[in-house]
Amino acid sequence: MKKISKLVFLFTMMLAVSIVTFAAGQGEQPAENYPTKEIEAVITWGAGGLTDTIARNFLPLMEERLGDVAIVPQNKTGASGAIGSQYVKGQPADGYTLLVTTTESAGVWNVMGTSDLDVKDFEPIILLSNLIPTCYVRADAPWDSVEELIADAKSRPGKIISGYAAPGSLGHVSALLFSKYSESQFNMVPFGGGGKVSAALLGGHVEVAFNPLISVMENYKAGKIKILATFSNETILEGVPALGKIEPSFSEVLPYGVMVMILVNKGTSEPIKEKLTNAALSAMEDPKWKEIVDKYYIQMIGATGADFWEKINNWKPTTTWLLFDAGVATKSPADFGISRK
Amino acid sequence: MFATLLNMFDLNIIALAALGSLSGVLIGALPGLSVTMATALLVSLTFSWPMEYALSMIIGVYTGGVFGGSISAVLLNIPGAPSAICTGFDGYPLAKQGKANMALGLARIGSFIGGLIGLFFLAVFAPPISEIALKFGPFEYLGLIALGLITIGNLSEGSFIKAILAGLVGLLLSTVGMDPVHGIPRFTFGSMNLLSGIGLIPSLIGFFGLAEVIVQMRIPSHKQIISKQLGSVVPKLKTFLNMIPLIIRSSFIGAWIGALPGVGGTIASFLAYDNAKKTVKNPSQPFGKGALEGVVAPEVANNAMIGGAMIPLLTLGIPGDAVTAVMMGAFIVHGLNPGPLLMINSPELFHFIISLFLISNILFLFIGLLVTKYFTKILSVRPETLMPIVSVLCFVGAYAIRNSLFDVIIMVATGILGYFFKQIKFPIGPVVIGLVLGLMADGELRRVTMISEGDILGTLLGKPIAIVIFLFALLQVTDQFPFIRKKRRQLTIKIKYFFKIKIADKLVK
Repeated sequence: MKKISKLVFLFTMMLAVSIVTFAAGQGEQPAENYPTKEIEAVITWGAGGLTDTIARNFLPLMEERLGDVAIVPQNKTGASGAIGSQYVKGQPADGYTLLVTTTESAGVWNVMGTSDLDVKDFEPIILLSNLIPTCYVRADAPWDSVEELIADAKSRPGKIISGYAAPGSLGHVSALLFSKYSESQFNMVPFGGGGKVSAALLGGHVEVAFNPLISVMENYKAGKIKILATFSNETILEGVPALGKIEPSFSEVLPYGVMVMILVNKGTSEPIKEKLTNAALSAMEDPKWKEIVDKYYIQMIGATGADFWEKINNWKPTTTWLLFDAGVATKSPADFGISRK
Repeated sequence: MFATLLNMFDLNIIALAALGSLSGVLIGALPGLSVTMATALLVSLTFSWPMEYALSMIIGVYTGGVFGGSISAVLLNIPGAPSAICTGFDGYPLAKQGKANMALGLARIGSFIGGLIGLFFLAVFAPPISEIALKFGPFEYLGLIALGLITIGNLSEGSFIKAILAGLVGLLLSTVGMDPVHGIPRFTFGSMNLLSGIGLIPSLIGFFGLAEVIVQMRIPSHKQIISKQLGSVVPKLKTFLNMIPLIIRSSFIGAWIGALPGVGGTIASFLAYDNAKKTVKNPSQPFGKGALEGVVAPEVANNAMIGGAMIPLLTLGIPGDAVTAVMMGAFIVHGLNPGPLLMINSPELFHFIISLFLISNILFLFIGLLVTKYFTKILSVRPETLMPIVSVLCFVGAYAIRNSLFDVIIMVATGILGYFFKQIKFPIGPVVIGLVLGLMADGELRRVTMISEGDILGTLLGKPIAIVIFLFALLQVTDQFPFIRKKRRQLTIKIKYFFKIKIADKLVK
């Protein structure tokens, strides 16, 4: 008898547990109530990098505006960000998993042959910001302006050493862009990391490099390097010319840079996306965010919806064709319906 | 400097540094939880704090964490971080002999002294060191990596051939993933996960941790040795006095390697261990079987590396390793831009940072004592209870690095491979060195060819530092042949004699 009552007890407990877990699984509550549980934000680049810093400063501000839930940032790195994106793709489209990634990863996986995924497989919340690269040389370099550098590069093609971090990185695409639109050639050498490029330039092992303002600013102020131009049409930094102004051939592709974006899985319902987008837009107005923007020399974008796609579709042909023409991308952008601009 | 030290008597700063040190030691001790990750989390957590508080906590975690890696290396043979690999070579045998406290005590005090010497370099010689470090380009780096690879031959515990083969296995494993120049996938078999290569930390956990678990689990329980004897936590002063030359050499290596951006503590500890093995004539026990010198040298070096790594960060605004990269982010968030102007415009800040490092070093000396006292108790747990727990830690650690299940698969695969390696007495150390250095060697070698446009030897001739490094590396190899070594020694003596006469002549005149 005792045994039976034990069995009955066990059975009821199991039933209770399964009901509770089932109910928990039924977490898909109506979108009006969103969010009711914590939101996971997957950052596709490593802890401490520029993308990570931007994300970890921006997400808490978004969190404040979403109500009483936490946004938990997580770094899932690897394969230029494709690993983290694959993970988000595998999660339910309920707005509880955000993807924080950059154009230099999600925008080029297809042509680089990294992954079948593309920005198109997700839906945009916001195109947050842009980091604009600069073209810089050592203070004792023979060139005082972009024109001089280009003229010299043309007179001895492939002899001036230019350093960049990794294939497909911002520094690399900027160098390719620079060389294409100025019709000059450089000996481009990858250094495996932005810090190593800066060190190599200061040490004279590399003659010209392309990096975002934030990574070169201090050495510029100290007079150790000369910034020849920023990759923009308007002047960003006083005393430094905008590339688009001095070399008009560049102006159609400028401003160029690496853009940080927040995405959700495809199929996420409209009200949820709207809530997230509104939270992001409002967070961009936060004084704390503006402080970060100033400190990091970030260009704010804040593009959503159709505006987002316009910016992405503008960016993609430039970069993918550059990478393909340089032999870095293994697949032709034409295979993915990206036509030359 | 002293004025800033006095200003530091803000209890909050000391309390936060202590908290940082404690969590650093704990995080460092757990394989898979890295100091980089911890500091990155801290940066966002401390965003709204005053800068002094945020910095004290971050610096506490950094210094504590580097030492923490040695705890699990000694007690369980699982290095908590790559820079603690060498600590386990002799630390683990010591723990097996019931001298775990001795090994950890040495590691702790070695880390402390190394940290202080590294700090001394930072405080006094930062600008000249950073100038010289900038002279290091791809050629010089390639030379250093060649030196690192040569240490493999010196790491063989039994067969020299096996060590070389093991090193080659490591080099082969390092080629998996996207190539560093063109981003072309190599040996990835179409797997996206393999694009970023075979993760170093999951394979560390596998090769050292899981493999050891399998070995231990196969020993029948009545044959297992449990060491109740743990020895004293505070090593004898005499032991240390004998090691002073070794400590100085190791801290030079550590601080110097640390100052080179992108090289890191792992290579620093390899080179220090290799140096100890070559220069210490009469170690307390043979190297690899529990030499105290083998624990001290890498620990001194990897903590001296911290001071070195801060040099390029504070003088050039260039981070030397992953942790300093995160730290640079923290500085910028708090409105402080590390770069050449930092020491000129705000020297008080530079001194403040150095004082914080000093305080954290002193703090972890005591916190480490408390922690190791409790940690060594796990050695008195019976292996059949302990090993399952360790294997759980291996799985959690492997997953925690990137939140990736694939890393767990790598961990299990390398664990099983490591078990078979142990069975055939195939040394694991060289495999890991090959894995660490392989990717760097690949990148540097190709940079060298690209920069010299194929004319490697011709370009090398214009680089005196690189020539010296390569000659030194060459000597390490040629010294393996007795007749060459003999000739070389005679020559060195002759040269020394020649210079002595010259100096004597000058003195007479």
